Amino acid sequence: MAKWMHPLGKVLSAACVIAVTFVASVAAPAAMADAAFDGVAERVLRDYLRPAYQSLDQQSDRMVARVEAFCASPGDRAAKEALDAQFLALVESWSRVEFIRFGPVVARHRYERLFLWPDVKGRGLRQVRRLLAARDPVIDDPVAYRKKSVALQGLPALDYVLFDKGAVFGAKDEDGYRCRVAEEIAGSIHATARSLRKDWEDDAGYARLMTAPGPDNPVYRDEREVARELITSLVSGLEALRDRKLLVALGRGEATPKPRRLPFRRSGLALEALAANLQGLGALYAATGFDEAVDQENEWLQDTVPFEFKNAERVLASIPLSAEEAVATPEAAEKLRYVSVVIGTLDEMIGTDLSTAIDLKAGFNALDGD
Amino acid sequence: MRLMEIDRRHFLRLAGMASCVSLLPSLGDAFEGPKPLFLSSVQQVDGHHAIVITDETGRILASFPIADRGHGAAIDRRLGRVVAFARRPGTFALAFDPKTFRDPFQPQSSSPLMITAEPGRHFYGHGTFSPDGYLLYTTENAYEEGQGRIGIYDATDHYRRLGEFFSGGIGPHDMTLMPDGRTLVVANGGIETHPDFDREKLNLPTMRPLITLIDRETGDILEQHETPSDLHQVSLRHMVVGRRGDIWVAGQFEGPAWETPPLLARVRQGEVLKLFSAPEPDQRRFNNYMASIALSDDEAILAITAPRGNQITFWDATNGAFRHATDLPDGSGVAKGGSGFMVSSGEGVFTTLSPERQASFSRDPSTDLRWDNHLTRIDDMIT
Repeated sequence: MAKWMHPLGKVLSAACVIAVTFVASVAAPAAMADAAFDGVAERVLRDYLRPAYQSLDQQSDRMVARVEAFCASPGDRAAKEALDAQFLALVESWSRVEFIRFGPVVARHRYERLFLWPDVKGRGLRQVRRLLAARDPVIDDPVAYRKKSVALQGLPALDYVLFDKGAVFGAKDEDGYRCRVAEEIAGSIHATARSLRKDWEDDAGYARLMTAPGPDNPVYRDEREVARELITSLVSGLEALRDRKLLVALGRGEATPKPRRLPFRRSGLALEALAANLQGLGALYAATGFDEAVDQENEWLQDTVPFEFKNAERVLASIPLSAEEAVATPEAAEKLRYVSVVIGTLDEMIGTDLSTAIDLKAGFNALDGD
Repeated sequence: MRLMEIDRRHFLRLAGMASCVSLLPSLGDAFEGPKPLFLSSVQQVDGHHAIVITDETGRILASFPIADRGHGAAIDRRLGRVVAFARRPGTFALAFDPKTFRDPFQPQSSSPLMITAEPGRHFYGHGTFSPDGYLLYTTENAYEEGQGRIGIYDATDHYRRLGEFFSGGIGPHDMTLMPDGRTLVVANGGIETHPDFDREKLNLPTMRPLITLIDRETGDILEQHETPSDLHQVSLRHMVVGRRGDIWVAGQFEGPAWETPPLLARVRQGEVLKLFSAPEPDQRRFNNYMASIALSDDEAILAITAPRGNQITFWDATNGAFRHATDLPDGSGVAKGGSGFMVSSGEGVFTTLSPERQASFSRDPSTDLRWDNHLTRIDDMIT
């Protein structure tokens, strides 16, 4: 398979000599029949996007109910356990689509509305704290509330309000104010999740843009562009998971470990969220069916990629600690490091081997913001 | 900062490979001749990055290895010096004499002078010299403050940092001088990033791009120009300034892919910023992403690259009207050429393009280099 490699490349690299003008004999990447991408949008919608956003809608709906039940009797142990379990389910359903940065989620700042992360210097958190301190009557007006900052509308805000160490409910929560804030945030998450689900389920909406690419389609001109969108989601999702989460938590090189930078640390669900990121990426990968289109030389990807996804998930699941404890425990930290290596391998297999095999490598100059 | 120390050692190790500087014997002569010469950062077939000097045919006259991707360059036309920047969020820039790739202050040295960003700052990949060549200005990120800065360096004294002033906004990217030689114009892209989170955009819902005019002698902000509020997600990033002071800006839209807002802006001192769009379906072919921008020698035509849409676009620089576009996969670098424009691509194409002629390119590269975002014309230095 043609790669960006001149036959002389290896020799040249060793000697650090610069090639002086030659018309390259680089073969054009094998023209993969675009038929390889036929039906990819339908498969991904059916097997991944629609069920995943449907789950987010359902879990956020249940979250509203659990917060209300908890707030009705904050001392009730069963209500608290149901609340904790439901927050886990909500975090997992979000984390399975967290790396999707196209389609309805990029409209009207819905992404940031659900997940304002990273929260640099705690600016978002500061707004949540201010709201908690202010006893602002806006919390009884959902329409007005949803017009406030995105920092007050999403999962990180709910993680703080419900699970911060200083969070008090019941008699100590004067007028049940903190609980009402939690209800309002849960309601806001559900409103966003519901509109996402509806938009994805609309056959004439974004789904149609994906399934009917063409010269007049404002987003995708051909199946290849749809396929590239999906590969980009996989690769950036894996890289974010490793570089912005795992390696920041562990401390890259000699840098200080910063496990508190991970999302959902107050509920203690940071590692569960990472595992759900992996599950979502694995589910998207499987739904694309891209590896069925590779030639014999790359058939090994068909077994190896799903195996490595499972491998990373299994190792993550075997750590019965919070992220902060895990990073401080040599054995668990070693496991996290191993997971980061596996993710790097997956990145290489999908971003380089598979992308080259099906001729989908991103342009050298197509990177963001330069 | 610890991390920076490691980077620095790594960088020096590579930069110290003096034997890697490769020069054709004719490089010095090339500067005397009439040929246009260009500087660009590239990725070689072996995956390593380099800064190269090339003529109009794509022939490499000199090359210097760098540890990571490069980006833009500042040219001191009076004294014939170059500063090439690492791609953001880089903390290094290399200063050298383009004829030798050596430290201009130590002609006996075997490598360029390395400029290192201050702690708490990183470069964005662009900068500009004062007309007399005494000062270098760079766009920088004061990332703990979440604010753009213009760093000021003494180009007569090993690029010692003299100070800084506010860039006028967040995420300053390209910067150039107005024809008066005193006013700096800065494209504050509006996007906040922090090196802890790599290139993740941290403020898309509230971003506010600004074209800022700054008096470089006082740091005073003279004018601020912004897009209308419904277009606040059009990040204004790269610019070219005409001899009469028209500032043309190429933008990148951060909102939904199905919207196709205008991406070309014109700023004139004392006037309101004006936006220009191509008619559909051309506008949507740019994939909401314009990269480099250049003006033709007679200033009649603008060329702007759209690497995500695989297009080179041409516009009328008298009125902002779209003329036509040419397909060029991953085309990004563009500069004024000997005749027409010189364009380069990430797939190896390096060619002259006449705006008068509609042309198309095959995927077969004409060089075996991946050309990086920007191409800088350097033969018009007085040396």
